[in-house]
Amino acid sequence: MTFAAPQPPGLVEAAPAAGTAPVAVAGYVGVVTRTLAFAVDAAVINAVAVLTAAVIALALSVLSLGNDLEAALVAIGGVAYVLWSVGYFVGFWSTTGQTPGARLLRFRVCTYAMGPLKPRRALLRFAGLVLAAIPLFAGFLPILFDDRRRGLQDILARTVVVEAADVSAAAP
Amino acid sequence: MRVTILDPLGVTRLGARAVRASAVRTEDAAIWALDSVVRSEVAARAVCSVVEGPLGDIAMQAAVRCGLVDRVAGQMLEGGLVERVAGEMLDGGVADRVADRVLAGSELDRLVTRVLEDPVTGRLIAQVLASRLLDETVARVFEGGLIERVAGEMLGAGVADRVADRVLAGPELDRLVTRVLEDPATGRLVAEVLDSRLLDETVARVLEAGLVERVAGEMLEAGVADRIADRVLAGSELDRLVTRVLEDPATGRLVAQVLDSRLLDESVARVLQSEELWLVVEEIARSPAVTSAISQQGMGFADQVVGEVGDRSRRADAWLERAARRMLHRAPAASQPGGP
Repeated sequence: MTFAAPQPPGLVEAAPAAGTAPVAVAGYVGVVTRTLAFAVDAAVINAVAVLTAAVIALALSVLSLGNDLEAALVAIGGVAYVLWSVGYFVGFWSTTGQTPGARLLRFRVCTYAMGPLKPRRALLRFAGLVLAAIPLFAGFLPILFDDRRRGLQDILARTVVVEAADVSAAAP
Repeated sequence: MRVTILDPLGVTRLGARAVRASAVRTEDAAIWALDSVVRSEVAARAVCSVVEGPLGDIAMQAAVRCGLVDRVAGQMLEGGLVERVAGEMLDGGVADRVADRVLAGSELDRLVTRVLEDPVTGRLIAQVLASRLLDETVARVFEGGLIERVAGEMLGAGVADRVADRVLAGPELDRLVTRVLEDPATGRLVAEVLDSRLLDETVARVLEAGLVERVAGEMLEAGVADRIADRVLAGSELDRLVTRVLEDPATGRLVAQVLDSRLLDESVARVLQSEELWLVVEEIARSPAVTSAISQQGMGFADQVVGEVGDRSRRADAWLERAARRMLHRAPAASQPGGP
């Protein structure tokens, strides 16, 4: 894997093929665009979760369950929600590199070499995302100052967020 | 028992030939008579006298009051005479030949000229339109089903198709449109015809008889509608008509009269009530071209909105980054070609 040399903000250099010069292809995506995309993703995640919960609650409403069982079901629901959220991000990042929100706003997450993320790296990035949000979202501040607009999650997972069209042109 | 009639001298064949020859002569004679009447100054003066004098009114009123014309027309219609004559003309191809001859010759042109340019003829038409006699005659004709039969025969024999071809290809249509557009008297005449109750009733009866649907169906099948559309679009009449309508207040009033008339409302209501229209609309709406165009337009709009949001968010990215760097007294980031 070949990492791109540091570039000015917004410029992405694709991993060069053997014997060819590096090509500056893209702009890194900033915090506002990523926040909008995250809002879209959150809406999708919650909409699916609410619908699923409503269907299950409706089905269970005809049964008389004990309090202990209800508490267990709520816990199971919470775990399912977390798994669904993790699976959503990890699944999209490690396959297309784009969540639906990112696709809407036309950017994608990739490695420094402009390649797709492996599931483990995608999982690490999600963990970084949670860590970045815990201290009042301070983990996202580096996006404003980093040359490649990387947040804590990007630094941890060694990823960048770039314009989608440019990556598709550069990626093999 | 079977009886065979021998005809060694060919009398039957001779008779048929004589009938055909007489039909051709009759046709030529009729056209010659029409030509003579149209050209004749005597006929013009006679028409002037009848129209301008009280005699025409009195005779017409008397005829209607006494029921003379009504009885004659009634007997003709009830006895099937008109139908028989029309049938013979259609079966023998006489009507077809007459139509060809009239359209190819100059008689129609002269007749149209006379009708359109002569104020006396205009008054005569106005009187006829106002009289009750014509109403009753039209009512009888429609009740007898003659129009439907004649139209059916003409459509079946392709006469209408050939006539439409000839009218579209010939110069008569152009001349007619020119006169209608340029002559104020003609405009008034057209306005009177449009304003008359007779036209409303005639159209209502035609619509009730389902004749329009049949004629339209036949015309569509024969491709006449396509040819008419091509001719109208290719010719100069449409341009001139549009220019005239836009420039002339009189024509504008005429169009306003047409739009205000009960006839148009009824026609539109009738068309909207017909199942065929909605079948056509459904067919068009379901066609791949239309659905593809609509979906492309929808996708295009969504793309446009998303693209605009993306552009604005990227500008916001750059602005926020500059503000943050300014606040911390850090050097601004280098410009980003192709990105924010």
